Amino acid sequence: MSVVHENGVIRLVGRCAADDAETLLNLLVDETDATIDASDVSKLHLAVAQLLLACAPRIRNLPADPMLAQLFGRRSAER
Amino acid sequence: MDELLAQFFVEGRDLVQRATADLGLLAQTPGDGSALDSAFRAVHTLKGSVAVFGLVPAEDLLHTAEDILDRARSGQIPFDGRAIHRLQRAIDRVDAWIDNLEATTALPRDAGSVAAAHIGELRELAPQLGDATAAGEGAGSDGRSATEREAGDATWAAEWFAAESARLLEAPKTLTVFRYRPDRDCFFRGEDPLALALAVPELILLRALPSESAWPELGDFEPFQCVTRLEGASGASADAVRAAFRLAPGQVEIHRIDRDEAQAPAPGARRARETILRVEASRVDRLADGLGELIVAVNGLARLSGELAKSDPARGAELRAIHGQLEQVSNRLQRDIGAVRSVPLAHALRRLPRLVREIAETLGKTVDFRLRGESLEVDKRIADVLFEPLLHLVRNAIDHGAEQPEDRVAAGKEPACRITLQFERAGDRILVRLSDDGRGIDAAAVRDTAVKRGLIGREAAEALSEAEAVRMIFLPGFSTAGAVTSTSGRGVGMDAVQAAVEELRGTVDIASALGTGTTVELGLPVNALTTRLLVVEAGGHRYGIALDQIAETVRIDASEIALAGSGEACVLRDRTVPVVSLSALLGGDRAQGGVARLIVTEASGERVAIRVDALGERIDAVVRPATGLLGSLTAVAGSTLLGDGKILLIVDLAELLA
Amino acid sequence: MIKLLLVDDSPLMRRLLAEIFAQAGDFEVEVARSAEEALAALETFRPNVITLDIHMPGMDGLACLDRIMVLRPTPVVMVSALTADGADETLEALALGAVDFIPKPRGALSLEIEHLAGLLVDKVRQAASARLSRTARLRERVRARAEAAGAFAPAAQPSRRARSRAGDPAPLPEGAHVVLVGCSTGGPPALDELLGSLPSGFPWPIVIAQHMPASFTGPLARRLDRLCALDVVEVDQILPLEAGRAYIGRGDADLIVSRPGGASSVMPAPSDPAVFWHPSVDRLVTSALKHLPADRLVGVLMTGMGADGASAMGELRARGGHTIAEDETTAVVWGMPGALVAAGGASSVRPLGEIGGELVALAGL
Repeated sequence: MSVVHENGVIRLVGRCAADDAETLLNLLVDETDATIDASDVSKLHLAVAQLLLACAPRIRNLPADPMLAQLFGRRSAER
Repeated sequence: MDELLAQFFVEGRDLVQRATADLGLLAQTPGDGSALDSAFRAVHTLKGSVAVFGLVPAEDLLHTAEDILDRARSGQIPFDGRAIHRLQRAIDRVDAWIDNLEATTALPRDAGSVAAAHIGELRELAPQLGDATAAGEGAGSDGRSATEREAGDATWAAEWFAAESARLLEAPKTLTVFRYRPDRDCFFRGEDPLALALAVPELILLRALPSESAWPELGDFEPFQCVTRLEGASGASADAVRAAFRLAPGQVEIHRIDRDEAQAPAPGARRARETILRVEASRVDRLADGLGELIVAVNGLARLSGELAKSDPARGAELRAIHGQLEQVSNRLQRDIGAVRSVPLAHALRRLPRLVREIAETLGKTVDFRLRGESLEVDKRIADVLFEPLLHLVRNAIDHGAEQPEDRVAAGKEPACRITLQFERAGDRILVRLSDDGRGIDAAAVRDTAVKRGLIGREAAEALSEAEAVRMIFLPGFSTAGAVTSTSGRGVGMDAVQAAVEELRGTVDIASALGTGTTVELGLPVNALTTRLLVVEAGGHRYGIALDQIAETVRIDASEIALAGSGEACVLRDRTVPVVSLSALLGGDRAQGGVARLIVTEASGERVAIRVDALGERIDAVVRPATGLLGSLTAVAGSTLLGDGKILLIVDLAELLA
Repeated sequence: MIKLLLVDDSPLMRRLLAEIFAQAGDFEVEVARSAEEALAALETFRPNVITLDIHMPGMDGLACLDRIMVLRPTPVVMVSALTADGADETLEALALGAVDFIPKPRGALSLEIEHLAGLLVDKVRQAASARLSRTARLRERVRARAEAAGAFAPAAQPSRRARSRAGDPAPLPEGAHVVLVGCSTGGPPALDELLGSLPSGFPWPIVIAQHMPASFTGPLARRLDRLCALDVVEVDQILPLEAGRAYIGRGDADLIVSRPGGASSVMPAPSDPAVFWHPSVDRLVTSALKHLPADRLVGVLMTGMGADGASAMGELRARGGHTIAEDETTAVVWGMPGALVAAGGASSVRPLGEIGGELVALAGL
């Protein structure tokens, strides 16, 4: 399981493949208050990444990988 | 597998032959349904055969050809000569590829781009074809060109770098930036653009932006459609970055940029975004040279078909038809290469408005300079050569034309002299008109100067009309200004302008009204590559004459030529026209014979008939400028190579009669 | 030995196909260069299976197929170009009685051919033992002819997309079920029959995974839409599920049920490389089980090679849903439904002609 929902936090873990985009989208729509923890992501498919980018303010923890974090860093800071 | 290939060589050529025969039938009997069906099937089967061997460019090309034939069958598109011609070209191409395959076991390296060109040409026949031709699941059949697109500028990177300066502290001074726009369906092909971008060597910056103006609302999100574009900067070479994106051809722009320069973009220096392919000009010139030689060869065919027709009219006609086809193709090529060489005038003239301001300031004049029609595209050679003469003309207009502001006001004009440089296309010529509302040219002063400088006798000068007098400013060594000023240069007058324009086979004219202004008009060919020539015979030699110097050719009885004064003349269209013999002008004997063949030309507004021994064919030729020994001969504009290998001298009638 | 007749006007293609089948070992191959030669060989060679090219000089492949079905009904596999035009012709051929189709072999100089050859041999071998129902063929032929004569000309309609996007979609009625259909070889004509037997007021959406290449599912959806009372659409984007509509999964991709924002929808998804057939029936059913209660799902598994769908539909039944397997007597290839029946996953087993009736009864019409 690479997309986990627990205690109001959507956690992305390990390798997130394209398929996870559908799961993540459903969670994001259903749990409008949930924040996102991407710190344990090791690999992120663009299908998942673009969903995260579209709701960047909800990201609580950026991916540990610096280049992946860079994708989100500026957007979060802008808001 | 060798047996299979051997089978293919036999069958493939057979199908090519069948399709060719069917197209031939269709050319004779348009709308022959069974020929159309047969051609369709031949192309369809051939497509299947080339696919067996994975010859993707051939398959793509034949797929498009099949589509065209299918649409023609159902009457969706007109099946005219143009369609037949282009289909035949496509079939011929595949035929050549089959030969190539047999000789080298592979298609030529440029097969992809060649196929793309043919496909483009075929698609023009059915504009609604669009992308529907993608050949199923085959590789390379997704309609994307293998040519990498490169956008004209990367100013977007500059602002970004400014914001990211902290991350760039350690980065090399020159970076490779890329902008990657994956298509919407890429996830369905198993692609992950982000993984691809992260694999770029020496990646320093990476950002993801919505491909449209903003990210979609979650409620509208299609989770498996890509709505992102990726932009990044790398310390690696452009080639290394390009290699990282080899699986996403056509979706990535790559630029090398210098950070320091990029970070200080001049305002207004942003060029309009345009997709361009950078090609060295010399390569295009080589292409043009090659084309020139092709045209020579094709012209050789015209002569041969004429000769053949005498002994064998049927074969002669056949050869003439082929010649016609070749001529059509080379004309098209010439247009296409011309288009490649075309550049907007605006580009060559971009310094002009600034120079006008500087010149006006130096001379204490106030000028209102306007450019019109500068978006017109012309051959690069013309654009390059045109700048100097235009600058010279504009200088003259400011220096000699524009009055001091107070004088203008006193004369009831606006204080600023209005100078307009206008470009206009008229058929295959470009009209350049430079007009000012300055003081105009005083014909009397021109006469005085011309006489004073010994360019013309007083009597002859007084006999000239006002317009003719004004034209004398183009005479070598003429200058109307009392003093040689710094801006108009020393010793270079309007004659230099005229020489430059004539080198481009252009014309110059001037009209001026004292007190109200001057207009100089240049006429230039759009296409500087080839010249249409009439081949004539005189004194046992053949010469070429540019068709645009010829008003008409006539054949009259020699008895109609009468002695008039020291020369000869005849009556053409109720006007007496002097007749001169070309061979006599060139130092030979006067033309003889019962029938006189005349070329009528206009020399300085006068009609003159030039008698030649024979009128030959009309050819398109690349005229090489006269150099070396030829250059020292007057009246020789240059030379060209004929189809039979002989050199044809091009006679410049204007110079000859001067 | 399976007696195979290869019909193709291209010597190259005949040679290539003959080589492929000769290597398989269990085929006795004869070739025909034209439709006329093929018809003559029907009696002299008496093939078990025929591969037929569509474009041939003289009598074309479709006409030849029609004659074969009258003279000596034999399983026919069409050799098709995987293009949009090829799709229409091929669907036409399937309606006329062809069992299956294979792509024209390509990439003979590469490894691609190895992969393709295996697929071709499997398909043709399966087709050789396929069942042909003579009466059904007759009916289809009559209709195909009527259609060709313009009797079923498609009416001008606004695009589906425009309709489905305009205004609020008709919400799924309270307690409505979703019908999930899986099929492969022999599927297109079977879908034609199944959907044709449902009334336009059928209250449930029908989601269909028919194994096919990408270029074929659009033409298939358009064709079914023309022939059936129900609306039939290809799923090329997220579409909300609506009563009385049939959804054909886009080829070469998978088809999944989802509920973004609470509205049951279907959408195409990148195909799972771990399985060979797409759209995957197993994946469709599994995704539906994730978002909808099993007792509101009805699984229908029809003709096709292999076993795709058997495992997920078995799960569907185990969780309280209803499943219908097509009976061996009507399935062109009783692979997928057979696997479901063997695993004990079928609530009922029905001949093709009765499946529609059972759905109507389940819906309480």
